[in-house]
Amino acid sequence: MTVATATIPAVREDYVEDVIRAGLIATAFWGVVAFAVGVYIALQLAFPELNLGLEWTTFGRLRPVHTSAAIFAFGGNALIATSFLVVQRTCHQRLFGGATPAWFVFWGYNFFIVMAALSYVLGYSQSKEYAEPEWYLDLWLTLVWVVYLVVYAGTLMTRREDHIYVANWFYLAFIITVAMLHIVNNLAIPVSWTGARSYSVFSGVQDALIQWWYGHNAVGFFLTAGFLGMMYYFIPKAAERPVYSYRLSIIHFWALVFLYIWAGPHHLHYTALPDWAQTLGMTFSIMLWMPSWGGMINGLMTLSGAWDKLRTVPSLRFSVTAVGFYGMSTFEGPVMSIRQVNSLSHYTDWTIGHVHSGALGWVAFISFGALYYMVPVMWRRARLYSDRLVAWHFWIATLGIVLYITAMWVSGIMQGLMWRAYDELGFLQYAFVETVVAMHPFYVIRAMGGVLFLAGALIMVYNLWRTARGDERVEARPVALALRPAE
Amino acid sequence: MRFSHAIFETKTLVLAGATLVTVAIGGIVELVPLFTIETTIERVSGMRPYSPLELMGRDIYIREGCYLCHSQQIRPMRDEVERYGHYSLAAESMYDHPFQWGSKRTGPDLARVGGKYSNEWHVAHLVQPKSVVPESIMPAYGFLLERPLDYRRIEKTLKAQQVIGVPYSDEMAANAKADLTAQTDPEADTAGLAARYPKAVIADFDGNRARVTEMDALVAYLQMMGTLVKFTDVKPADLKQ
Amino acid sequence: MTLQSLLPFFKSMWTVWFFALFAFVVARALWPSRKGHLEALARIPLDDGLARRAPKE
Repeated sequence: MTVATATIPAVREDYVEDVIRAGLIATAFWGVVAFAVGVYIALQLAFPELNLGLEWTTFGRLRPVHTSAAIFAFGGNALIATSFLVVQRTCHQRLFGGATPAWFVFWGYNFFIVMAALSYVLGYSQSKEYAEPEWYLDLWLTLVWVVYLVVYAGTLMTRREDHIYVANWFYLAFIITVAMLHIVNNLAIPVSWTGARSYSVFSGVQDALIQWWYGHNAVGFFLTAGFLGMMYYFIPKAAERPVYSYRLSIIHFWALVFLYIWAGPHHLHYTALPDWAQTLGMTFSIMLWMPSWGGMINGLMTLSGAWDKLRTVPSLRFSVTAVGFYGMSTFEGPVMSIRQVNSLSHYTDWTIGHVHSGALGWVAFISFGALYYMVPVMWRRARLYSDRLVAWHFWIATLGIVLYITAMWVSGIMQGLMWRAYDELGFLQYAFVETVVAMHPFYVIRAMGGVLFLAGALIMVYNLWRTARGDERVEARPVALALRPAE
Repeated sequence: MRFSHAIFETKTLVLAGATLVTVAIGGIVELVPLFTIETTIERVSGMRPYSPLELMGRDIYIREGCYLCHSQQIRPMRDEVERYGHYSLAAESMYDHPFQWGSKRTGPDLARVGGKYSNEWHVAHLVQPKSVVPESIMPAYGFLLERPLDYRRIEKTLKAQQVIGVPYSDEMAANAKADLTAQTDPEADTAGLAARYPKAVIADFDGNRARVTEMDALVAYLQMMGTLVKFTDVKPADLKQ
Repeated sequence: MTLQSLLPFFKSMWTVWFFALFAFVVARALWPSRKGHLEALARIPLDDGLARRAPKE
């Protein structure tokens, strides 16, 4: 047993915390569901028999379950839970309206998720990627979201701290922008008020641009801005030092808000979308590289001079690696938005690999970091059940990500090249199905990467559960070195 | 307290408002011209709304998430045009609510799959893809053959499409049910159907005249994809966006 | 000169407006005399809200 003294941070007693604890449990639960479904459909691509010949388990119906579980269930619950904690503790104020509206947001949101997943499996979908739920669920989510906005903005308005800390800017931008995107992209006319089916009011090329304006900014404001809010709170908190440059964080915020919204058309290069829109999208996508790396530097440099914390604070390992992956995928993204690169990468697994370096490396890792930090805090435990299990989780998950994205790079670039390959007589060299066959080994490797990532998450769930119970594993833990600066 | 609550509240609203305005401007500048610039949609002839059976087939395409593995958007590169046909036009998806361009080609592009294979091939392929493409990793959709098509709401469906701008006439809506069943029966009186929906493929798609199945609808949809625009009549100026 | 004829000009000017607005934000954030104030704000999350503050009601 180590003897390091850990203090349980004292907080205002009237903070609303039960709903945050519930949100953490939901985050861990949905994370495991999302990863498990992902592994299952990844295996289906390698071994199609695994769909068992059932209509409910086809790739087409389960893929939205996977994406919604990962983005909205896992990511969304992580965002809601952390935002409730961050806004209270940086505003020194209880959630606006107390516990009841917050509970409504929690249950309303999770009800939406369960209903959405059920509807995909049963075949109700409006086919807009990452916005598949039909009109009645969209309306319900809109109601939940408005309450969320009121709770969040209300807490900001009644705060006891003069300044609104920058993490809240990111969370607020996430809530507002997602509301706008959700409402516009889901405008639809139901066939009848008693039926599920509806038709988007937009069609063809306009609908395509609106969908990817939505889709790309779901990445930008849900999976980036929201989780940057997490970064700007949990890294300083776990490292016990302020963010490297607060001024840089302000510029980071406004640059992201100014630039991100334009980038959507890069999903539609060489399509029937007019060239001016494609060029606009590409230009802004490339410019986005700057604020992204500004933000990455800000996150990483927070640890400058205190890198030993990576050894002693288990959650930081995930948070800091997440920022590294953020930098990597926000470099890869602008590269892929260049039309010539995109002509090769589009429609291939390269895109899938890119998304997962962001989703697994950035979104999931920054969330794991927040979970490892928050569970001891919210259950009033001095430390995690086991630091060694965190290390195991970290290395297994990192290996999983590396397998995943390298497999997808190879298969994506290979498929793109095979599609455009000509033989010496000037004929297309490969039939389409030959490119499918060539993908097989990489689909197996990718699935293995997913299995590792899932295994890591299960280790985390066990560790967090034992932590919440109040157990502590007997193990040697790294102790902070008592270094003093030279005088 | 030095600051009044009023200032705090304004600060939050200013932050929220500035964020909303900034993100909204980006969207407006990018999206609105797509609706207002008339050349966005190419001037080609031949486009028509989906026949009722095709529309129901398209609903099944959406329900099964086909768009997750098959694109419907041919890019103007040499290899794509040789593999799939003329590059896709904006006009060709102008009645698609929502669009089905897709983002991934786990399977081949389907924008011009219409007429490339026989009805029998499509049915055999959907029932068991490996029976015609041994290396295929596509799931089997045999249940489409068993399940009768639910078209009770077809007239309402056409009317809903009317509301959002698809040029279905009242006559089309009134005849929706009859047109739907007629398209699966080559023996039926299909003159009205053929006049309302030129180039619609009329056939007993699933080989079972007794009833209209989901298979009938899906194959009817697949067989018309990309067949409407007659490219021999198109002049380069018509395609300028 | 009607408002209608000015419209294309303003339509083409949005990038300039955007740039000016963003430059203003950057200038405000980086203004040297504001540095001390702004960097102090970075310490907000390190205080969980109990330590020094008594409830103000």
